[in-house]
Amino acid sequence: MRKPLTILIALATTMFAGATLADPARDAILAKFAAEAKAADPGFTGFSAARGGAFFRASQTGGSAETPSCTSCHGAAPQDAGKTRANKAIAPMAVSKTPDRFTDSDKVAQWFDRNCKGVAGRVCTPLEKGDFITFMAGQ
Amino acid sequence: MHKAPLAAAIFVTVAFTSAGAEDSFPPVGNATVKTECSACHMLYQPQMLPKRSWQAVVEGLAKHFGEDASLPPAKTTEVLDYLVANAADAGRSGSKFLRDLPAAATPMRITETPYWLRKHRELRPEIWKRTSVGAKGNCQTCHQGAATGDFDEDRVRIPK
Repeated sequence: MRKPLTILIALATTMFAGATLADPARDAILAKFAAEAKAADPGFTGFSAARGGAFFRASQTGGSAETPSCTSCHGAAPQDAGKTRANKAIAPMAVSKTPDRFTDSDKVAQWFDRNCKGVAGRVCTPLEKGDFITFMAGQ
Repeated sequence: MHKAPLAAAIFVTVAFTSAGAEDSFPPVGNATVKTECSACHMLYQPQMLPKRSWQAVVEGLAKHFGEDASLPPAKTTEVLDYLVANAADAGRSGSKFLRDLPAAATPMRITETPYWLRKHRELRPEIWKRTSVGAKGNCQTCHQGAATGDFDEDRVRIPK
């Protein structure tokens, strides 16, 4: 039970070395998304910060008209605080500014689930989630 | 000789108690409710809506005022249980937010309750349009202690 996870984490750590700020919990979350991405597409070779950044800024259709993009609430700069539609501040998404971002797997699952539906009208793929975290970990 | 201090003590106790009952709410005592219900907006006190409203709010979390605010099943149950147990119509006395509320009404916003409307009716409509105020649901903009349950009228500061 422990061994495959260890291998996955080691694999993920190697794959994302240099691109992300290291945190064992975040690495484990990325490793899980990497395994899911690999299962969905055998040609998966790793997450991309550039793809994650483009996804963060992209304008989507299918979700709520008020929130067509991640940036609608999080703001254009990941290092800056965002603001909810109810006027409450959102801590910066950039891991350099909010170090505990993407270290709680339940929280990560809950917020991707809600916000992907709200912005894109669908769940996000493991590739999109992994790219997103990889991008934010490098910010 | 001893009457004056006693009278003063009674006066202070009565004044303090009635002010407390009228304008303050107990702090929210559930960690999940605190975290989840304050992630996007002010942490509203459960005593401000009746049980039936909280049931409708929690059942509709997937479409929560234009946001998907759905929670995993275990958290949904925990949040609903706490809100219902501390709702306006829970307990023996009942909250002032029940005043004039028709039994058939299920308000989805605290700002729709007759009690809230009456307490804010003297405010000019222009106030709500100020960017500094934002929206009626931003209680803490004017009631600075709102998040901790302090709604004392004497401490209201309306921003320009």
